[in-house]
Amino acid sequence: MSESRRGFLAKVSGALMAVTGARAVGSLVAPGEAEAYHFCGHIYTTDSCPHPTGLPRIDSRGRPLRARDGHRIDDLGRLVNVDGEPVDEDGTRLTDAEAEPLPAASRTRLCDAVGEQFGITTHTDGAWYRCCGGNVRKLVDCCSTNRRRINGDRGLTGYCYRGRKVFCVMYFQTKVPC
Amino acid sequence: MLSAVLIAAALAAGVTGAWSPCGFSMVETLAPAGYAGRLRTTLVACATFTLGALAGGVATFGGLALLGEALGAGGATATAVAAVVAVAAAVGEARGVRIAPQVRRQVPESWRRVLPVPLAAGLYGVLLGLGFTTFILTFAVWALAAVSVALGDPVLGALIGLAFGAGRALPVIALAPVAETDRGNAAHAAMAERPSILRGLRAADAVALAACALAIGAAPAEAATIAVAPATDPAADGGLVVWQVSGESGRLRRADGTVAALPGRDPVVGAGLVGWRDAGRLLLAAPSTLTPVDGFDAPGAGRFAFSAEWVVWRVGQTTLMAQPRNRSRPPHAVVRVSAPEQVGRPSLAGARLIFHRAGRSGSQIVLLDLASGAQRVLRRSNAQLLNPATDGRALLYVRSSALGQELRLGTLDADADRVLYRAAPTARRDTGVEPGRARHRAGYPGGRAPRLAPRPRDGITDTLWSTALSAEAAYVTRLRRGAGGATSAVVLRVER
Repeated sequence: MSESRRGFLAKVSGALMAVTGARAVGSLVAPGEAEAYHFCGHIYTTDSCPHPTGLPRIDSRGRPLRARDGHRIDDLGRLVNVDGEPVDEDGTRLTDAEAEPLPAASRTRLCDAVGEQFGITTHTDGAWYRCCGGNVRKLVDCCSTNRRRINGDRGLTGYCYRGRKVFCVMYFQTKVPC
Repeated sequence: MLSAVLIAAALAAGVTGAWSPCGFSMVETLAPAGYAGRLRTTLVACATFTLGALAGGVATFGGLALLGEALGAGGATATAVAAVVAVAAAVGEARGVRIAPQVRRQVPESWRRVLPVPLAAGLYGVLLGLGFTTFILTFAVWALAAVSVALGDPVLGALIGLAFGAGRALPVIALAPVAETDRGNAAHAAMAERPSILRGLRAADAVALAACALAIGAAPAEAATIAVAPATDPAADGGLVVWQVSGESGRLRRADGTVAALPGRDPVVGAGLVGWRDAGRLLLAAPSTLTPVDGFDAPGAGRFAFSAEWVVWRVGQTTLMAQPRNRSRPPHAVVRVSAPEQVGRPSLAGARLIFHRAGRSGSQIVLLDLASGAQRVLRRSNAQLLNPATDGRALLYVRSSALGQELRLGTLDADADRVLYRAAPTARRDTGVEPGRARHRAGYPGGRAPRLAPRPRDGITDTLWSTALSAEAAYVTRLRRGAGGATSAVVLRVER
């Protein structure tokens, strides 16, 4: 009798755990609204930080990368080599018509460039990770004490610290498969 | 100016549309004695017709402008095409040419019988406002469509659409309420029986389109022409213009238009003389005879500049050397930077030396007084500021950022510059969204996200480079790197 009661309780608790676990797992894996916005993983309406080539892809230090292939770019959007010199798609230095190299340009951390462009103080604060394109993607907020976000309306807290609000968003694509 | 003439042209084009089968039918349909049945219904129907026409106009021309924006329109070529189309349409209108291609369709007649008249009027208004769903009475409709795409400015496209819709509605709502009066009948008869009115309207369309073409052509940021090709590194002084032909020698164009090949490279002009570099020697000569009148030893020299008082040359990409023309001092370094920062090509006016410093920490345009040694930063930016030229008062330079490249003209003493010529950015941006997704609009005023930077053609990298300034015009080198990796160069001329 007691064994059967224990067996019954075990089955009930197992079922409850299964339901709870399924819900928890479901809430973890549900894409929610992530698929609705302008790049994978971004689930709110705050727009991208202005980026030299469009999609706000950055490297681990916050500097701009070309979204489609992850190549380094400068503030003008030109591909650059490890020394920051502008190069073409083949990695050859860009030159003028007399074969003299064109000058390098700055390669500013995207969130800092936003601050300069909009005349506000910006900080790269917290982040969140999601699975995008088969790799883990870090969603990064460029935060400001400004009450407004880049869209022009009220900013949201997002992943920002110390009362700052999200001004615009960026992402860093890791090489970690998911 | 451009917006005003385009709006005027659109309004005129819309009014001209009243002479179409649909235009006449609308007056008949909305008249109190017709399907409306009473004046009150006519007035309501006129209101819905107007709203429909405005909406239709915005949909067509605003939509075409959005299409143009998506295609990266707004550049010099697209604008030139728009001007040409406007001129062609103006000629067609002035000559009263039969419209081709024509849209031989009309609005559905049955709507006015089966729908409440105000509703039918609203729908008719939409169809007429759309412009291309019924008969077209003027080439201006085609021209305005082309201009909307070419300029790629959705706000301007919407304004054109509103003006066109208003033009389509005006004759109808003016005539329908009085259609059965003597005055209304007379007006209707005049429309139907006096072709001169339509001819006059088409002439007005022609004038408006010609004004559009002029305004487009006069748009200051687009009016560049190729002055010389292939060519690079221009310099100008008085009536003299020089440039370098890649792999060859320099060229001189004199005030009388004659062009001479120079016996050296990196040509410059100044103080009424022409100069060139022959290996490590800088030679200055009379432009008429090309006989050297002065020369300076300058080992390792590249681009250089001279005035009546000084000669300045660049060594490598990090050093500017200078020497007084009277040789009161030996050659000496006046500017030296550490690589990878670069100093640009020098420009001289008297003792005032202007050059750029550019590197990973940003760029500056610097003025150095060679007589006193005083140095002043004239412009500073994280955008790239390149290759200034000066005549002693004005300052011409290139400003390049991810948003675009500009040829800017200002003065040495104030930093209020105007843009003489604008080109797409050096780099090609993506769409700003990942595949299958759309741009954010939430929170933006009017739900309208900011316009994206123009997009250069795929595989083409254009860089605005060295500049020159004369009394009448500004010159800038456009470097173009094609898909094969070869760099070509032309010198563009822009009126000051």
